[in-house]
Amino acid sequence: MKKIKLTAILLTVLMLMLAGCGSTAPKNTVTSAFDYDTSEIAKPEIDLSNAEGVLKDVLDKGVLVVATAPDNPPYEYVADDGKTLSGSELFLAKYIADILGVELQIETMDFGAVLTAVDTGKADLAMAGFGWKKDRAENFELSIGYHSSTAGSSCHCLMVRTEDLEKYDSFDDFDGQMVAAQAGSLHQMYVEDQMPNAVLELVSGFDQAILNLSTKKVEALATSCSVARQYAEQSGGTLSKSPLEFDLSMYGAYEGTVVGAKKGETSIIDVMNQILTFVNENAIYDGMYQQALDETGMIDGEE
Amino acid sequence: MGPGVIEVFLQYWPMFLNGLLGTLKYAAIAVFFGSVLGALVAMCSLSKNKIIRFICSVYVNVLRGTPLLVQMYIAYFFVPLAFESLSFLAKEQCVILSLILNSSAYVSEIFRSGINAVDKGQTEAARSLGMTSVHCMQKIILPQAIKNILPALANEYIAMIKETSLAGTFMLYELMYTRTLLANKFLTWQPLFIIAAIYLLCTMVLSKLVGMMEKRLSVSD
Repeated sequence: MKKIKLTAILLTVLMLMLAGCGSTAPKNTVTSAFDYDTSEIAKPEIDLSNAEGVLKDVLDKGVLVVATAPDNPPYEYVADDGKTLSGSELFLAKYIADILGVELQIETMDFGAVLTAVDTGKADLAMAGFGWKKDRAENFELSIGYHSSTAGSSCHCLMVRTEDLEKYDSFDDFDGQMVAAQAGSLHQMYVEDQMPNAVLELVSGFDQAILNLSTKKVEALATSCSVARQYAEQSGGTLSKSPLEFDLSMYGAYEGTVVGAKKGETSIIDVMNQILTFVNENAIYDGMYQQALDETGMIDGEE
Repeated sequence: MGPGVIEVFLQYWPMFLNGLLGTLKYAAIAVFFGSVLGALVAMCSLSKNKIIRFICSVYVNVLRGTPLLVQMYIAYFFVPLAFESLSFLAKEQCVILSLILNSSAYVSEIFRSGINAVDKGQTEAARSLGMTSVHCMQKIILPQAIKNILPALANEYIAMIKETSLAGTFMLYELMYTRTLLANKFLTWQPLFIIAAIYLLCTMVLSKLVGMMEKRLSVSD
């Protein structure tokens, strides 16, 4: 009898400790409210009276949780202190939260985990430079695309080693060659669609793609023109932006980056589409993209 | 290839220092709470009750038999889903929780083997002198077992320092996270070498300390 009592006490202590350890741990460092003033920016009138599902929860709680992977400047990145988040997509997230009249909370994680976060209800929306993809659209609700109308944002290209710059004149030259792209990114889609005979090497982070290219594991990598120029400069001349750019006209309304939500959450995506249509029509994302570029000191536009 | 390793380190050393402090902090929290929890699990796994022993062996096997990264993903995404009352846990706390649980499984084995390593004759002698089993554990077994346990525990801390690198996947500020921070500055390869050097330095210094501790503990042998 005594032994059973002892065991019960032990187990209770164990459970209490499990709960206790969590609460004694220091407060979360990276998940943070995000500050960006959108009061000067024009906003659309959105009818929120029919809100359902996640959107209703967001409006009830007064908090919009957005999951992102902050390793993709100028779209989303962390500043030197390891805590301050910034980037054009996060500005857009703040803009969306302000239209909905709620607080914005950003959850940061590895790129591969971002969509899992909306699936498990950790986050309401996923914004991490996602492109529209068929299999992704089957498993998640995706919004229409948004992009800056400035040259750099809607420009996606290949990056190669400078010594190979002359070697490749068209996408067909890469038949059977390895081309790196971040798994699940827009660039994966571009390579799959426009370089069907290239061997796609998926990486989880963009820095791995650069390492792959520098160490000759791949012949090229796909990225946005501004990122390519930035890395080309940083590499001290060993890597270059290839003049080969992807044709984006084939993607229609889904050109650019999309917002993701859990499958079945059509209510919130409807509202996103209304907001993003307004954003695209009024070139609102241009200003956000430009500000993020200025903050990061990145190069944009035509060479 | 851009700036060299030393240039990058000189320019961004505070970032690496913060990362190192984060790593040491997470490893310390994990091993400390992991030890407390692990000691309990070890006690339970030495109990005479079959059911308790079975639960303990499942606990230890599951946590030792699955990768820590998988445990982190589960702790982060699914623990709050499964237990509504735990949904207040923030990301950092979920990741720390998985580190603690993982560490506790390893520590419990350290404790168990440490206690088992004490000769059975000691228990028999103590019991035949009329000591209760709790008293015998406290006064006879544990003081001897601690000599086996402490160095192994310190080694667990050293191993944990390396394991915490997985927390960088969740953007927690530890040493591996500086890689993400510097990748945002388009520095891709330099941080890897700096991070490796810092890890190596840390584990070498700590291993040395453990070696000295082992020497001190073996004086009475």
